[in-house]
Amino acid sequence: MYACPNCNAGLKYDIASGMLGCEYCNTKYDPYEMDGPQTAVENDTLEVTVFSCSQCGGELYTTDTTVAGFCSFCGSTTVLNSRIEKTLRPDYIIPFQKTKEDCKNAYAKMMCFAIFAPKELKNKDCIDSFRGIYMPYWMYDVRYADRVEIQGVQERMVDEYKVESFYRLSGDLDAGYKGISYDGSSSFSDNISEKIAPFDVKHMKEFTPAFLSGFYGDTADVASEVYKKDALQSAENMTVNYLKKHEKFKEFEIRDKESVRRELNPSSQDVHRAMLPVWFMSYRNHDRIAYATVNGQTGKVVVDLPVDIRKYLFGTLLLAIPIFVLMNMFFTVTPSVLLVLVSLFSVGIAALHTLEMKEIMERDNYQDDRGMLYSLEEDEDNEKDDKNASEGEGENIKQKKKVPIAVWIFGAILFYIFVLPFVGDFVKNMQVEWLLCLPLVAMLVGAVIAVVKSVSFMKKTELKNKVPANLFCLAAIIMAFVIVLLRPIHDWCYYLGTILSMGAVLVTLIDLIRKYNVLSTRKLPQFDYKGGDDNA
Amino acid sequence: MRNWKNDCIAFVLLVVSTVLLFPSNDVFAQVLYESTNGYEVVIDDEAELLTDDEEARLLQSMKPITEYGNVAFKSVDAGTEIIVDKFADLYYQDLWGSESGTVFVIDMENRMIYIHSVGTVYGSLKKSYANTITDNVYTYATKGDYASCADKAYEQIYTVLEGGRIAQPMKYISNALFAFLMSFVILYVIVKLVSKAKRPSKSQLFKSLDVSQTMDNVKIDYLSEKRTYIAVRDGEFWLSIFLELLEAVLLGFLGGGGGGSRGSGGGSRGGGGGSRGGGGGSRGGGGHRF
Repeated sequence: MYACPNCNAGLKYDIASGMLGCEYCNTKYDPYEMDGPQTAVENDTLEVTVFSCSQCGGELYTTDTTVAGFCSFCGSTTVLNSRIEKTLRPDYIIPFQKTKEDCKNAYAKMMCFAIFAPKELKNKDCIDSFRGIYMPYWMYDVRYADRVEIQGVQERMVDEYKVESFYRLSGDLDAGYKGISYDGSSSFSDNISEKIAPFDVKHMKEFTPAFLSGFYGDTADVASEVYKKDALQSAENMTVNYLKKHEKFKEFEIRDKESVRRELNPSSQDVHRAMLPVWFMSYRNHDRIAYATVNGQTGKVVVDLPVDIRKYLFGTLLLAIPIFVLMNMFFTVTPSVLLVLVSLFSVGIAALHTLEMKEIMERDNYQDDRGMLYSLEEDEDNEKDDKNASEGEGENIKQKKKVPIAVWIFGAILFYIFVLPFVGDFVKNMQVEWLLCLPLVAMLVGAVIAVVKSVSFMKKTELKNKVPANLFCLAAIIMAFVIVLLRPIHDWCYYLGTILSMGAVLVTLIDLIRKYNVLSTRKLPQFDYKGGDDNA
Repeated sequence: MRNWKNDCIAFVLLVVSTVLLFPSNDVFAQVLYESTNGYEVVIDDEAELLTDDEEARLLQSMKPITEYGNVAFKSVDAGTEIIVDKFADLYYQDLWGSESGTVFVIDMENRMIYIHSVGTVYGSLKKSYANTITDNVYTYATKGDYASCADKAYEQIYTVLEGGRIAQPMKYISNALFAFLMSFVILYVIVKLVSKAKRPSKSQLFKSLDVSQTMDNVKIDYLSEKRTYIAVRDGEFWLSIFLELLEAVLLGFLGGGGGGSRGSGGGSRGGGGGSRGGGGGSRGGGGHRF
């Protein structure tokens, strides 16, 4: 807590002036002057009041007497436990440059487009709950200062010959990158911190506790080693890019990028602690939580946007009217074709549902949040962790080699567009009725794959005991298949089949929106602040 | 399950029978009425589905359509192997070439009813309407009431040609449901796009860093050269391959449709023998099993 030398009232960091300001006597003070001379021990540590949430274990700290009335991470309003603690002092800080008003305006602007968002996300109390938090980041500095030799190729055509000329390109490289940043808190999800980036490190300042006055800080619990490899990779990529675009090298093609990477050995690499400004707000709905974050330097907004199903259905009805009018003007199909069309639609929805289940599985298992994964693994035996990590990496590599579902869908669409017309023509001439079932068989196989995949993804989530909703799509296709096989004469059979199929698809679609809501929110966090460098 | 060999034999037989069945323009149909504008009415009840009274009644239903083109009724006896859409097309051409008009076919072999239209009539009575009308009247044929079936079909054809509306309740119901599903999915895609915050680009990340990059004493040394013979494929070559592929695909699409539009001769009366496959008019139709 900083007291005003003039009137003894509390000082707070004033974003507009970049100074500590007194609200009573309106005097401003340089933050660096307020901290005074410090001992060596004080230079390494920082005395703070830590508030920990009794529900989720999330921790926030402050340097002044502000009381945290609620938990930003789980939305709980129960009284937070507080204690005085010494924490490691960050090296740098980017002070808040966007005020709470700026943050609220940026958020409101974003929410104008979120027409289906629950009204709670737009109400005043919710917006007022934005809290300025300095998030702990690891800042990696990497420098390459060495002579590099790489191979460049020039290619030209001489008559019917391709002539490739090979050159050795060399030079004294000096490339330095300061401030490659990754968030060091497990409570701040990587998929938010990646999107809310970048922070301009050129405006970074040396840390002094006065900057924290009036704001909160999140505790760092992820080791710097977690992102070291990523930081080096990023620096390597930027250097390779620089070499490729260098004015004397750009007329050459650099084919073997791996050999260039091997040439690059960092002459120095450092890591620093930094605190970066984020406006943070949480919206809790039963056992799920959604976060809204605003970059405190640039004003960039990242929001988890759930959907209000009632609003969504109303919007669907409204949009359906012009589509219905257009369809009546240009679209008349026979009942049997309509049945097959709805089946095709069913396969698409089943596939979408599977993709969504895959995303939920990745989110719930923190596959997109290495900070949280690190935090969870901390409790386990280190040796076992290493083994799991290497197996995990192996699995990731294997997963990358798999053909993505999108490619399958694209392939199926190409099949329908390019192959079926020929088959259809053939069938028409042959009058071989059973072959008309071919597209339905393909759809059936597609839907079965989608359902099986969904089940395998759901097994790895909290939904493991639930029935996958795309099973309804599969049922719709089976029904269509049976009707087409039986070939009833009466149209009502096809129409009944179509209407039942559409009903089944609608059930899947509604579940798709429910799952979207699961995906656009998060599990209530459970933090365990045992590991990390903070206590090292 | 049939095997491919049998299918191939069946295909060859069908082609041969089609050629044998429709060898030339030898259609002997009696013209029952000729309107002042020269359009004609033909009833060719080969399958003997109609009584004389029913034929007389049917004639009355067909007459108004001659304001727009020729009108024919054709029934095909069971035991005659035909492909109804191709048959209707050839039958009409043999009667009136590419003049405007329509023919209603009852195929007792395949138990199909089919409406085929040409020229001006086809302009109003597209495949979708032909399908709707046959959907509306097939139940009469199912019950064996062929006269009412044809009678109602001509009534509805005339209504459409007059610019009136015909009942299509199931079309509206299924379109409404389909529109709802499409709307649901479109909104889902929009919501996904709007809610997805973009990750910063590489250049944005680069600009946010404190970067220094220099390269001194740059040297470029020649090492070696390699020559490889390759067959030259210029842009035109690949373009021609692409166009051939595209043509094949388009032919696949357009060639498949019995009810799709096909290029044909001029549709107007007196246009005189517009050659088949020519530009200008169009023809097509739709049908229903009964």
